[in-house]
Amino acid sequence: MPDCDIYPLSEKAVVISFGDAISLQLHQLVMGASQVITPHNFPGFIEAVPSYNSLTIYYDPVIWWQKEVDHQKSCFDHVREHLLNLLNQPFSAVTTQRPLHHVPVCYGGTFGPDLAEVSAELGLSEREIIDLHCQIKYTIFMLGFVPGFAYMGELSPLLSISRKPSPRAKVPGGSVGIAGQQTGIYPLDVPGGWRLIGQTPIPLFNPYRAQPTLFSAGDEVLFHAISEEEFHHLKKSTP
Amino acid sequence: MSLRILQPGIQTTLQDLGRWGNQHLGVPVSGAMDDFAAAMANLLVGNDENAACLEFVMSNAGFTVEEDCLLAFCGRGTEVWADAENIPLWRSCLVKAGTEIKIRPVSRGYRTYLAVAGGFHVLPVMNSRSTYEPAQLGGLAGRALQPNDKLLVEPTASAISFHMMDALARENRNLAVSHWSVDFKTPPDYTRDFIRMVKGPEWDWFTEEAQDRFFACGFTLSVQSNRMGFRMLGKPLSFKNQSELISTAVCKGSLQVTNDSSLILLMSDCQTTGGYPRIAQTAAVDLPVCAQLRPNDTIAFTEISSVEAENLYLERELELRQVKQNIELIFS
Repeated sequence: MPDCDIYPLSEKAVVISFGDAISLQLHQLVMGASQVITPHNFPGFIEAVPSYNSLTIYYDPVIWWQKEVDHQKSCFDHVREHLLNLLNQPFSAVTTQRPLHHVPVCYGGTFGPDLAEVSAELGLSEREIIDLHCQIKYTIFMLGFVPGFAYMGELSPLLSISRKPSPRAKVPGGSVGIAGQQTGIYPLDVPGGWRLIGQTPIPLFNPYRAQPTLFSAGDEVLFHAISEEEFHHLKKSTP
Repeated sequence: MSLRILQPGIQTTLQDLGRWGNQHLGVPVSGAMDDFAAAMANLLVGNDENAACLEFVMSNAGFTVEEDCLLAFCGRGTEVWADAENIPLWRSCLVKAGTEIKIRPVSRGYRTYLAVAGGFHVLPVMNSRSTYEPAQLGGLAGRALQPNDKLLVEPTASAISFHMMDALARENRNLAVSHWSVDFKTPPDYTRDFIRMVKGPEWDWFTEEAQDRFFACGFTLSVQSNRMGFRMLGKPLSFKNQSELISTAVCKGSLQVTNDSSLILLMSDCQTTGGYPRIAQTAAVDLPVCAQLRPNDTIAFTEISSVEAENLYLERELELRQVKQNIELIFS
């Protein structure tokens, strides 16, 4: 069993933390754990939320109170023991093939209003920035911030840059941003502080679809550059 | 059956008990800020506790009921009138078609919930009827109420609701208030001026001075507060050393300290993950008390162990389930 720390977040949420770093290896343990712990083997299971280095399980403690005879121990103690048992099965990093998404991006100009500034600050040409952004196959560590926002890494160290000193009041949905070692796409018009280098015409969140988000944690993403014409064409042809 | 909104009030939204099961997609849970009041309002009219109800924020609001309607108001922050008669909170009542209901702010509390027998009829989005405005999800077109909105009520109410209605219809009044109420043994103490807190995962990241301050000083709810979170103003809480937290799960009740050492209490519409240190977690049984705070209210924090918090939560949840069973027994 991998080293982990199990602690309560609230009366109905428990966190399994695998370490204190952003790494593919830790993240694979998180995704592995999310496959081992399911509604079928965890009584009162509500949902599991993966992040970079931890998996949070939401559950109904009343089910545990009713199920367990030993009320000397708290529900959390029972839950913790149960999780340790589940994680004790032979389980390792996920090895199954994860979906790879090819995401078209129109870089620069009005689509990526910060590209020029990023280019000046990093001492790289806009072309070099685009190439560096497109050459890495990113892993989606987690979804958060707003519905469908995927935190992807890791960015080329050459593109590492701070957030904007003060966030934009409204980032247009589809905008592709970079910050630190991460890149991501804003699915909706929301306030945001990442540097915007481009925009994708494909929709990332639709609450009326069976699978409301395009991405899931653990998926992989490859960006490719498209022209403004292609952007408008794709925008028209996708709902 | 429907309600016609005359005066929408400020930020009046449809809410149930939350959009659970979608946090891994980055979708907030949302749901009633005071989940106890929302659940009770529903139980009082014979609904499932998770039915959609209206969350009114302390402000003037009004609507007419277009057919006879069994309803219940729970929470705090308002008084309610049916034409010239007062509708008591925490009671079910039957109002006649055409009655105008007025909601007026009072001096304490902030949120009042209205449940109608059958529940409001809006389609669930991602498994919930709760309104989440930033992504225009759920509720009525994903937004707060506007003048002239028409809110439909589910055409079929439960047998329990019908039996409740029958009993009140015999009184043949414009406003018939039920003679029974729920004698809840462990209700939220809305008048208390302290909130119970469990030390958070990053408690040790804070200086001793900050830890002392946290439980010794009062904190005031800023006007910059909303359904996502409350900004709590008070003495700054400093970190021992400035380390970065890797974004991880946060939930309603989590108290985060931002880089400029201000304190944010996360509420129903909060993000699913966060990167600020979590100094404490609010005892779930005290979240209804938080939901009833209004801007400029000051409260203190007291410490409670996670085991105590869990016991209090179990006690409240088991009692709610018992109340639901009793109501079913009496009215079916």
